[in-house]
Amino acid sequence: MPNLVIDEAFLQRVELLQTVLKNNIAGLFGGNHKSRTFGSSCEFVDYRNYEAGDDITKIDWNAYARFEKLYLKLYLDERQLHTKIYIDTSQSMAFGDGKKAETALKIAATLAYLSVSELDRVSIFSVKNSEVTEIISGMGGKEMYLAEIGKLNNVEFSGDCFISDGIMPTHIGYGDGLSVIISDFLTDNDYEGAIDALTEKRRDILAVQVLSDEELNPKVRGKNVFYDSENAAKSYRKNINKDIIRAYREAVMYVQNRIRDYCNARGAEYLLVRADTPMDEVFFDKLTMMGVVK
Amino acid sequence: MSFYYPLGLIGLIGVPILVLIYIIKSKYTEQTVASTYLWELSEKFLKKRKPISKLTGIITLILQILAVVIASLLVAQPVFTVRGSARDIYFVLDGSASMNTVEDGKTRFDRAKERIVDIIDDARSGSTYSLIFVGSSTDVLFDGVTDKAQAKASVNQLKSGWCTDDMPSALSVAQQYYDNNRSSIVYLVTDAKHKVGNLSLIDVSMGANNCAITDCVYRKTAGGVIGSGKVVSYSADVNLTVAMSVAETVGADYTRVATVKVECKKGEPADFELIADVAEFISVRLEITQADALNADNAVVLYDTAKAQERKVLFVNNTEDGTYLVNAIKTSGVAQVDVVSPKAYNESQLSGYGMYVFNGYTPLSLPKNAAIWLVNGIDGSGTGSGVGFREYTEPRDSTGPNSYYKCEYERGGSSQAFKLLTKNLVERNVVVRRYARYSMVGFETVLKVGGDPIIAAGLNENNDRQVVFAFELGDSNLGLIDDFLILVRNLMDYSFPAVIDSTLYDCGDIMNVNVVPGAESIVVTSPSGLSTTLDTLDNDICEVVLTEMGTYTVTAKISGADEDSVLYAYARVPEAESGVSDGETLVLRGEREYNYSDGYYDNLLVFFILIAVILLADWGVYCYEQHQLR
Repeated sequence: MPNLVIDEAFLQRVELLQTVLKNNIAGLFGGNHKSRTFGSSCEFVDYRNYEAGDDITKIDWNAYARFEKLYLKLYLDERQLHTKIYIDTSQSMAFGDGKKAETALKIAATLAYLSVSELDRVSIFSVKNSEVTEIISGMGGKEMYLAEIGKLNNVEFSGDCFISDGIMPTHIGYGDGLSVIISDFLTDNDYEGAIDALTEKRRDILAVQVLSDEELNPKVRGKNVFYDSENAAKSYRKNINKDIIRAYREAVMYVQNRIRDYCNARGAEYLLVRADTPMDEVFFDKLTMMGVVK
Repeated sequence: MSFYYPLGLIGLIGVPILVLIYIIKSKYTEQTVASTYLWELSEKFLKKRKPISKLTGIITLILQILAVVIASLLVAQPVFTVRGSARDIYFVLDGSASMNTVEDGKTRFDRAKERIVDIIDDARSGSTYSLIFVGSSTDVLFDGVTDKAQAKASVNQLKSGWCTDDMPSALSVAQQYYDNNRSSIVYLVTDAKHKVGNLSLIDVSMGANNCAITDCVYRKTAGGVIGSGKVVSYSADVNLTVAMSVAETVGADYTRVATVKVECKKGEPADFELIADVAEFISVRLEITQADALNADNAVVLYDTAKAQERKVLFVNNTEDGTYLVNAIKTSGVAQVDVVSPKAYNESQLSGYGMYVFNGYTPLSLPKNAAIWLVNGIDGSGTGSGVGFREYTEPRDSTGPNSYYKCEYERGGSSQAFKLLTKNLVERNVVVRRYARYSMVGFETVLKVGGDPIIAAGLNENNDRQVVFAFELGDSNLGLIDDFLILVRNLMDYSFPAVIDSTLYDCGDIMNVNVVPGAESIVVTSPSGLSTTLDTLDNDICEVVLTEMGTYTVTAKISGADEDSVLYAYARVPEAESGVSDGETLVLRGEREYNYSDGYYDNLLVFFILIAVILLADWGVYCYEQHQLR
């Protein structure tokens, strides 16, 4: 079981970041994200003529004194969004030294903190087999974050993972924030359906693929029988030589490109994270360069 | 295929053991990975592999098996028998002087050896090699050798001589081998342009031009010396410079005293003459100053033999007709002849002469260590003469058919002494009125009447040379015919010879060394320093074959003499070896056959090791690439 440690200094630096969303904001009132509609924030935008039924508290009386006409002051609307983070908690994420799982949880925790810093609500889900289980639900505010985030330490990584089968039946929401899927995507199982479903719901999507160094650059050679950690019935028996290693690397590239291309085609973002990559690099370099945060 | 040591193949038992271990040993490492998805997916990207690369999976086993197999074969030493591939090869190698000719930085002889070694190298194992060397004599140096290394080592040790070759003699030896094995191959390795039949000719000549100096003589004049001779250029027109040098003493450097330029047309001998004012010298060297392909024939050294041929004779005369003989002896070149009466001889006890002639008188005791001539001894009973007097024949009539005994020349003698005694005789009719019958054992008869020798020569009881005339010259016509002077000269040469007759020889010639009276020992030293002590006890004349080019030294230790008599003779390159030889027609008799014996190929290990190296290299590259991929 991964042991998630909160690095306070790092979180303070994360507070300086801000999520960049592409879709229209359709969250709840009271958030920190500027909506394209007029609302009740403090940020003045424009005037318009008063019409019957308008809230009289928003009449600009100074303007009335000057022009003897009733004008209403218009303010930018600010919405509270709901960030939903889906973590692949299958066995493959925890296999080996558990670095992948740890990295996945750290990314989830950091993104959650970033969201609560922006006064958004955050829900973190575990995707295992075909089920999505809520780990943290509707978390808002830093106090709640600190109280709830420890639940990630209780996540168990086991079984298989069917991302589409798990996410699609759940309440996804509509245009109300960012959906993050963190997985190794090492599966034949369908994940495209989940991305399509999230896209249809006008949610911003970030797919984070976490792979260990051994998966990216295997050092194993010679005669080997590999058993799948998620399914012992699946095995691969081969004399690993230079030709197979070369083909393996092409397979890795193929998998990465397939996800990237699929995401790009749907306006989603894709990020490959090596399991041992520091969070600093993930957030302040990679995500910043991608424009997911600023 | 066969094996020298088949027991070595026992090691091959290791092969099935290795295979068994390979099968029993767990071959695949089992491990669990996060997901086999990528590995399975990689199958789609796996390129079609070369068949050889499939072996890489069992490369370790292959290498282990190879190691075991090679080790076993190393011990067993495999041999492939190749039917009818072995040859019996005979080399007839010319070792004459011309083979010392240097062309393109190598002598022809070295080139010949290289060619022979190449042929041996190229021959199939199992072949036999024999070599007939044609130098001063024809020798079979090795016969039926199968070991290539041994044959090549023997060839490489050979050195060319300085004599002429006797190819017909060599070919007769080769013919014997060929008669025994008609499938044999006979290589004739030479520089002469022989016309060959079923011989394989290897001509090592490159046709470089060579010049030689020939027919060299010198004569002393009142004021100095005149050297003359001929030079010849065999392949080109050249202008040559001929120089004459002299050495005053033995071992001293030669001083050049005259030179002359000679225009020399190809193949035409050109005369030269050199004149110099030189008072004293021991030898003269005439030489062509320009270097050419064979420098050895560019110089000739001539030694003064006058000292060696000095003769001092005491003539004890007891008859009136002694003058004939005294004059004849003087005519033969004797420097000093002292004539005394028997009375004076006995009273004075004269001694110190090299030769004593007793004419009509025989002393009671013959002088020792000197040559003796007994002419018409009264009773032939001189002590130590070795001659037994029997009787005088009846004197013949003064005129008419019964006035003489007809003499006959002895014929058929084969000894060196007989040849010397009868040399150049015209064999005119010789008659004698009266003679003494002597019994002589071990004497060579020159002239005889019936079975009675009347002129004979041999060793007396003192082991000194002795000539016996069994008649008085006045009772014969011998003194009146031309054979007389020739005979006296021959008898002088026999009885009081110079140690050597000549000072200039061709390499390969036989130098006759005369065992002079009083000679205790004679040693001949060759140019290379090889000394030979001649047998002076059993021989009058010793034969020395001059196989080396250069100056031979003959040192004779004479009894009673203060100093050794030292003479020099020069052996030059034979003229026939200097020029371009047209060769002879050399053919082996008999139809050639092709019944070759089986050869074998025993370098299989090279192939095994080569295969192992290739596999090892492939494995090394594989490992390197794997390492690079990490």
